[in-house]
Amino acid sequence: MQQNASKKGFSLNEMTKYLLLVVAAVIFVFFSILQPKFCTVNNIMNIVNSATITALMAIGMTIVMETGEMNLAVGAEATIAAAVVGKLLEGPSFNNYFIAVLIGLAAAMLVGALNAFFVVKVGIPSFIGTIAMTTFVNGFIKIATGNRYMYSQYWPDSFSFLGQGKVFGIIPMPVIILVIVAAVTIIIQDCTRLGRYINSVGVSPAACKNVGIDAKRTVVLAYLLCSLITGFCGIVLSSEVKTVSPTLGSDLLMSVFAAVMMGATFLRPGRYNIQGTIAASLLLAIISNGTVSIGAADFVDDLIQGCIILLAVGFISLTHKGGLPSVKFNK
Amino acid sequence: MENEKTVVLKVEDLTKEFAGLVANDHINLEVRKREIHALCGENGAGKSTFCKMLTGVYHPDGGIIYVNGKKVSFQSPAESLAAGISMVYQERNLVGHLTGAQNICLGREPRKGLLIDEKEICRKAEEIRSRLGIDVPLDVPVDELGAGMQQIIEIIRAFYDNPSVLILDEPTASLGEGEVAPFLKFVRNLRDELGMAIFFISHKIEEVYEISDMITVFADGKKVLTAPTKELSRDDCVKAMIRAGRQKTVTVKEKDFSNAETILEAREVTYDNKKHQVPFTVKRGQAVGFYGLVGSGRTETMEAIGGIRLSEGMDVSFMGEKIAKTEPVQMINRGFILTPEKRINGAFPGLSLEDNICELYLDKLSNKAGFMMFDKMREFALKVLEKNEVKYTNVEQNIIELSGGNIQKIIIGRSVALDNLQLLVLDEPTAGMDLGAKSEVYVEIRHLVDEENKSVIFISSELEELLTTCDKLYVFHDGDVVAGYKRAEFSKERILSDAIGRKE
Repeated sequence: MQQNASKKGFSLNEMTKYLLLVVAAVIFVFFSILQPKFCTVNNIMNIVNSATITALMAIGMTIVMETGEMNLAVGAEATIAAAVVGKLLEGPSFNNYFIAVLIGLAAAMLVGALNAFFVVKVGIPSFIGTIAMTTFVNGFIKIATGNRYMYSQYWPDSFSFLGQGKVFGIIPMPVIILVIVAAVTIIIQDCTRLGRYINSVGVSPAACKNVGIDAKRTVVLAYLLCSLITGFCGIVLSSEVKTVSPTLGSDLLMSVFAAVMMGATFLRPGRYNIQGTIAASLLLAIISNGTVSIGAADFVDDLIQGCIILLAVGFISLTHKGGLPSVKFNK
Repeated sequence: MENEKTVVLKVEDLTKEFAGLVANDHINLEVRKREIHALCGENGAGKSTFCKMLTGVYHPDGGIIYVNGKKVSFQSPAESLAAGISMVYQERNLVGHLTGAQNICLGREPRKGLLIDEKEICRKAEEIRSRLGIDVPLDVPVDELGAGMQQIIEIIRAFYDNPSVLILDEPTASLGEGEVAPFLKFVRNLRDELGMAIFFISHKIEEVYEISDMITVFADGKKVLTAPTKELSRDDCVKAMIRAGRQKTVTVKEKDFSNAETILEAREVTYDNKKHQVPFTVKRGQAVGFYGLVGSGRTETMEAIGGIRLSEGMDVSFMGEKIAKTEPVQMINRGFILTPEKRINGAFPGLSLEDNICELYLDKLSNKAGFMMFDKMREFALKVLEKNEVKYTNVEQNIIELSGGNIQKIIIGRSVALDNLQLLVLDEPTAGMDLGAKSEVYVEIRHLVDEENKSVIFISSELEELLTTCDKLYVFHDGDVVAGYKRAEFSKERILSDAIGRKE
């Protein structure tokens, strides 16, 4: 009897595992028919580009969510890194871009470390702790940017390298960055002890404790890794548009969240995974690009995104008993 | 022969205090090679504390532990593991999406460079598996295995470090009846084939007598006795376990139900798109036991009738009325209450005792405008607490601070307070309780049926308690009622063979 049940679940899983990509393909074809300009090399590059930024940040968030915690401070981490880089290079006296980036990343990781401290050591629920941290960091962002779009004529040319550079004259730099980050994080997630512990802690913290896995250390490392990636994402984004917006990260937060949630329906339904997060980012980018290119009003994108989060999480909560780590359903 | 029986682990005067409370008082004990040593005692008797000192979780306040003749002192669980003491905890410590092999190596994955070496994991797990000589799939996610298989995977994991002493903490608590026998055989094999010294903690006396060579009884933090199982009678063992007078005796008088009113009569219930034949009747003032393996339909049938489980149709009459589609609220209003299998699902963790008790009756305890009447609530709560002899410190304390037995008393107590209660369904009410607490539940059940003239359906996996408490017993197998017995016809062998589906 047990054998039967698991078999049935298996075939259902097989069917829904790649649903996300199928949906993305269908929607892509749909927009291509409605708007011929949609399916051009140029526009596809646009889609990939905007998916890249969401995906980068969402990879960071995924890593934390896999441990069963939340990180709503990813936006703040991205913004503070970009703001620090922008501020450091603002004057004529200092123009070493490389060092500025390192300091920017350090700032983001400091936020990550504080998140980890309050969530792991103090024991504040991560949902609340990271929202509070966002507000706190926003204060510093306002100090650095003056709460305006920041731009400086002294910024070195290298400032726009990460965002606007092209490899072989065609592939945008952010895409290369995403491929590298994705490859490294997927290997960490699937093939290293850290990745296995991150996932195990999310599924069963008690079991980890009893077999001698340091759950707290694992969560701290996840927060740090996350802030490193999201901080870098913020720097790439500011480099791409050559300004630092004080709301650079918070503008992205909802899409990032949507991507992570939706990603949990992909490949390993019921569990967050980086592969799914990337596929979901692509779907979201197709939808927002498509709605703009067919000339729909800008609220349509919001409506669709909201529906998608509800659908994705609803799907998981209906099909998986335990629900997602960090979003525990009462079942 | 003497050589074979070398002492593997010995403790002398082991003592542990918590804030002035003596949890372990000068315990002296030894366990030999090729020996299953059962540790018995009620909850809180000191077994867990004792084991946690052996595994290095607690540091003893006094006394000495010898492993293989060497004096040891553990600062952490890792040191205890290294010394050869391995424990399998009562709760499952598996990560569901990982395979058996991955779980066995969890926390100490072999690596190739920076990456996990999956091949080595499989090889290592397979090696331990074949050494233990047990057949269990190691390459599927443990989520897809049954409780018994999962338990075995945990034990395989315990063997990762080649232990000389194995501690099993209530290993059968989560197993269905059909899984227990093969599991016990496996444990016996560990003793005979590998010469293991095994501590076997269990609340189930039957099991202890079936498997152990030696028995040690704990009570109130002290060791009461250690004796070879063959020389210790069950009565003496039970007497030693329960602190004087804590276990209440249950008496069941012979009653004639032929003229009593029929409360519930069922013939067929359909759920999960399958029709099940469940012919049973419950008369007024009767305690009816439902026995069957986990998943045999005893819980499912009652949940379907109570409206908790979705049912596609049923042929059931309650109080002489035919019922079809049921809703929990509607059934409660008609006097049918079900207390769920997992105690915590019947309680509101985080709320006070008062709120937990009054939650069901807020309609009656509030005025017409919908405001709650706090003085009436308090009065009602105190009445329920007192009537059911709940041990508590404050009516406003959080319910999860109470012991399982006391939570159960509150859940039963408040259900019983329903004015027009006709039928109370108790699903595994004694799971995880010690003997003293269990006996109080039995007494409560008899009190309900004998004095208050209510009817009770008592669902349990422990045949023994049904035999002592019930007037009538139905056996479930594969969703259907396969047999029914009156008290006079109770026969353990026949009921057990019915439950596993054996045809005579």
